[in-house]
Amino acid sequence: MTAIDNLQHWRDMAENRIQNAAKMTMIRRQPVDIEFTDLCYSVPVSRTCNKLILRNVSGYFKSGELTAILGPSGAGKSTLLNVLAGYRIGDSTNSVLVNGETRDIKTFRKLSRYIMQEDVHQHCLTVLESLQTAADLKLGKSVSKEVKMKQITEILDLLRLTNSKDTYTARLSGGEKKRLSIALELVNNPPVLFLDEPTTGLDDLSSAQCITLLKSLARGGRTVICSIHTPSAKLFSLFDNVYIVAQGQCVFQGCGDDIVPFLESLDIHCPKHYNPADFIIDVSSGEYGNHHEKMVRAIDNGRKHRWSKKEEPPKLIRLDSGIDDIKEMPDYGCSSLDQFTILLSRMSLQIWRDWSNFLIKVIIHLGVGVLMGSIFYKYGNDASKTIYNFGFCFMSLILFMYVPMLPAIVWFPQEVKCIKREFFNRWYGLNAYYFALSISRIPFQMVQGILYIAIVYLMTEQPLEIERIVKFTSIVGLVTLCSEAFGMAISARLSIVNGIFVGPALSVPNLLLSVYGMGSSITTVPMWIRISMYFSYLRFGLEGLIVTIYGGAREHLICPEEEVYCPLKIPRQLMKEVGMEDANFWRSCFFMMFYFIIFKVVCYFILRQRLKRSRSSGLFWLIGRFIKTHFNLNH
Amino acid sequence: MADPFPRRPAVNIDFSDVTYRVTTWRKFKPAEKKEILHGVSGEFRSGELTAIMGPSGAGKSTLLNILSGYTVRGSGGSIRVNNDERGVSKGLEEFKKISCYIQQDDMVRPQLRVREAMSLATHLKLGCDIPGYQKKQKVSELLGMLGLAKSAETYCKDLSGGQKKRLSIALELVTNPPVIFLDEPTTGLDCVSTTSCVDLLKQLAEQGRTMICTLHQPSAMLFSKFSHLYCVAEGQCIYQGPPAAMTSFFQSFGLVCPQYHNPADFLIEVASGDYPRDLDSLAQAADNLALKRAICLDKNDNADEKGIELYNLQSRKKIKQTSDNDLVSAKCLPKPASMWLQFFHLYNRNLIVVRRDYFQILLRLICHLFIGVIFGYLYQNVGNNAQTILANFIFVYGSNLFLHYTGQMTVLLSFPLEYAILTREHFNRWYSLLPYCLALFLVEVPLQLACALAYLLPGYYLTAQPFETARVSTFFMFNLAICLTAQATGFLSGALFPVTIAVFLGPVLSVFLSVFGFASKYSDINAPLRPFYNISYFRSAFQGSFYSLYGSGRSDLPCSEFYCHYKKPKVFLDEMELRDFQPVQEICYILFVGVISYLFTLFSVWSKLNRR
Repeated sequence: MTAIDNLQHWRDMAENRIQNAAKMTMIRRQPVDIEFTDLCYSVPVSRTCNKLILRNVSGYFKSGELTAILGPSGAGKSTLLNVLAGYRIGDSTNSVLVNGETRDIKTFRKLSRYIMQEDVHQHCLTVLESLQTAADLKLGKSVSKEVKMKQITEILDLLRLTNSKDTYTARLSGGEKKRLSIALELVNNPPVLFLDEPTTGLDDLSSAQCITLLKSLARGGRTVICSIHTPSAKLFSLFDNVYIVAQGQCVFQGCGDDIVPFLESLDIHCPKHYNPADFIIDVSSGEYGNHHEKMVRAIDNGRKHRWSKKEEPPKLIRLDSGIDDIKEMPDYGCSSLDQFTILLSRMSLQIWRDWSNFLIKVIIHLGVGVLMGSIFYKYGNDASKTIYNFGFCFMSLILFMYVPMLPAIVWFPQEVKCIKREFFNRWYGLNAYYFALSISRIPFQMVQGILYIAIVYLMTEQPLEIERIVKFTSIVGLVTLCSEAFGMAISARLSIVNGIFVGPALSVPNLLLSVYGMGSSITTVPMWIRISMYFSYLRFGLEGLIVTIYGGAREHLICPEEEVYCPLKIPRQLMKEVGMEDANFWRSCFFMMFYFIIFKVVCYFILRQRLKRSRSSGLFWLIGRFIKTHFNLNH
Repeated sequence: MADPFPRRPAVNIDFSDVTYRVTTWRKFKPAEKKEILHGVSGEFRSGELTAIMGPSGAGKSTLLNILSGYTVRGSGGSIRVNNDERGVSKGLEEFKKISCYIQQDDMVRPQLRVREAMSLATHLKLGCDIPGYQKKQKVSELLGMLGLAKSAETYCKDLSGGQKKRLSIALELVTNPPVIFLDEPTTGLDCVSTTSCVDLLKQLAEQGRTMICTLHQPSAMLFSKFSHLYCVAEGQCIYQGPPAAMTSFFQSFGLVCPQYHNPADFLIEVASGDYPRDLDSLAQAADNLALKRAICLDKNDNADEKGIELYNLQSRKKIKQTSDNDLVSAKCLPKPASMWLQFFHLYNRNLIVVRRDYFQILLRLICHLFIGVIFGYLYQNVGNNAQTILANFIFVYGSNLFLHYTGQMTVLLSFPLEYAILTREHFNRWYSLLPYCLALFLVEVPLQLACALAYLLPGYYLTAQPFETARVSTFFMFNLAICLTAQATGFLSGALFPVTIAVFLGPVLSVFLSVFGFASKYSDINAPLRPFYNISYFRSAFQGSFYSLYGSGRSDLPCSEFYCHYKKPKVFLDEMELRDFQPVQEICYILFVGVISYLFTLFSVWSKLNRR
């Protein structure tokens, strides 16, 4: 048994599997060819100079074929993939053609899916659940449940995930994770698939399975393009088209078997028993002398679409343009409202599964509630301790500022990583996602807040009137929401390490502004500071709490008999003392809502800017670029 | 000894009846005891590259962990090193000196260059007995041997997966350990890197080391490179011996490897039960195989000895002796750096890391300065006015709170982020915990002090606090003390709790502690809560800072109106029950809390690292 026979047999087996896979019942899609000419891409390295990563490369990737982009590390293969997929735009706007027409990035994004190198999956979900969510999101309501289920089963079968369909995504092995990533994107059968190093991190067997799978997908009429890092001869033989990049230029394009003749035509001889893929990469990285220019010239930097030994290269048939149909395709599989409900149920499920975290937080809230309650035991109606009751309100505010904010700072950057993939592959719009995210957290926070308030309110003997209780709770609730939104706005751009410092640091001035003016009447505070006090949402929170407890028609507080004189017996007096005599409950609520919305909007825009990676407005981009070149903000 | 990097004696490991039990805790159900390894036995010889294989969940990583001493708790059976029983407490430390364990994820510090990482390892492990030029030479030699010479100046974060793996092997090869354990060295590498990695391992084994690694689905070519195979299925050993004899062994049980099938895949399929097989009889047969092998090997050994006897009996005997009893004698073991030297090198490394990450430091300093100026502006001149004494009270509270949070939060993540690297380096005996922690603390402490000063100086000046040396110094002392203590508690909570809980618990506790003294007086607090008042270091710092401004006979404050209640600072101090405040005692208390927190941090990290 020779090695060649072995390889042949293996190829046959793979082919067989590929044939079977092509028979699947999925939505038929228009085939898409991708062509690019004179593509350039540069990144800023320092203040003045840019580094050119792609230098005028051209190429042609046909549908129904599995294309591999190869090259030594740092040659620009990932960049090429990113640019083609539209993940990075750069200066490459008009040089990519789709079915012979200039690529419209918006339409193209509907057609293509991009599977990134690292597999980040939603935590606390099983494989089946992840797929179901994907199917719900992408296929919409028009497809019945049975059909969706049938498709999912087919995909699970195809990717051999059936056995692990009830495993949590976090417990999958590396290969399974990669396959799940592919499975998730296969749900609505995209005509173009981009994969960034799908085999890196997989062992031999899994990567062979993975490439076979990709080939079968390509056979189904899709355009599958992946960058790959030193494949074995076995894997290499599976690719229909090989595109090799070196130093930002194309050094070969064509069938894998043509590599050896190609090199021979340039007087470079591949040793026997040497993997041609490894060899050409060695050659292009300059290990056998400088042949780079020669190779680039021979392939005309990619303008020669297929190099072949024969004089006449095989005719490549251009497809008729079908872009018009695609333009009518909706942006997303289902309406924003449906996306919202699906995402909300997914998030709720995740929060529910993470019950131990919830339990710990509830217990801590209860504990702190009891402790605070016993410190301020019966202070609420004691005229000699009015000022300390004020302190109690202040402390509760500090608590409900830090407690939602800090976990948000830690948790949100992880979340951003995860949604990057789903968002880019157009599972859902940012709006629907953002609303669902904002809402799914609320009940969780509210339960904790209410537990704390119930204990503290009773123990400290605040006035037991329904209206005051409701108002008190709603103010605390608003503070919680604002703080979480504030934390998220901070961590949307900063890394965890920096965010966890900036968040608490910025909230201290916020806190101090809220009690500013204590001891003197509000009218004596200078104008500037009074204006800056409007910037503190906690100020409104505190005003709201004080007005809830002491405002309205409240009777005089009880002065204990052992005290001679209680200066703050009259509730109004306290409000005057702390500089809040003109506080108003509804105004407080309004301003806190206002700040909540501001934080949410800021967070939304930062997130959008990060996810879309487009050159938005000129100024914003310039600032972003300045920061990127001067500070190390990437994470 | 002339040779600074002496040859190390050969080490054989054999083990019998190794068991491993875990107790799993489940939601709403009683705990369950589960045996993962059911008494496996085997022998791993020096000069062999051993692969432990098996389907996931079969217990191969567990076996490796037990053999390397990484897991101790829950394991049973006996492990012998060169026929000496390795006890849990006695032999293990000795054994760790001659072995190293390379985990699956490559924990290398991303901000260091390859050469820097390597020279740090040599400095730490080889101590100062070996001159610098020899160390340098050794580093270059190792980098060259592992094919890393080209990327010696690359940052570790820019290395590819294969290079990272080779670097983590190179880091451990510095002391030339005779036993190397590797957990899935090939997982995560592409084909070429995998091949070169296994070739390297084989080469290392042929030099006389005992190389043991777990393996996950290798290719047929890779599979044949291993000299010894140990296959685990459902906690039992189903095969041990050379890979080539594997198929025929299974054939005798009626399990035939199909043509064109990777024998490694076949093995996994058998182990995971794709073919009908009787596990017990397989295990029995595998044990027999082991026996046969041992006899055969011993015979070979004897033959070998006889062969050498003619002319080299003396030296051979000697080697035998050392390998039996003196595995860790001073002669063959390089002396690691002393505590101080370890501290020095680690501190240097931390400084490099901090310097390369300068954005974070800049952000911290600027943030402190900025907020100091804002506070100062808001509370302009409150320090020298009888009417604004309450505002000053709040300013002091706010400053303390600010310094407390920034101090605590910045270091909260330092242990959780470093923990993986720390575990690896500590387990492989790079350094002791004390110098490591000291180096970590001593980088953060001056930084935090600088930040605190950046905040306090503008704040103090702008709010027109009294410029008397005694007051300024005590005020600063209290503020810096709270800052440092907060940092210590930050380290502690980061070391004690998982991140999500630490991030949440830290602020809650500090809010709770800051209530005392600020929002409630001692006399007003219920008796059961008074201990909390006393232990609150936040209270003591807050009161201390306030007392330093107004206490010890400050003259009357200027008052622009007809009557100011707090014209005499003493009145306010009386009201706040601060008249009998003892600054010296309190500052000692704050620092005491800080020191205690540091000690607890050390202890908790130590117990985490030693919980095996």
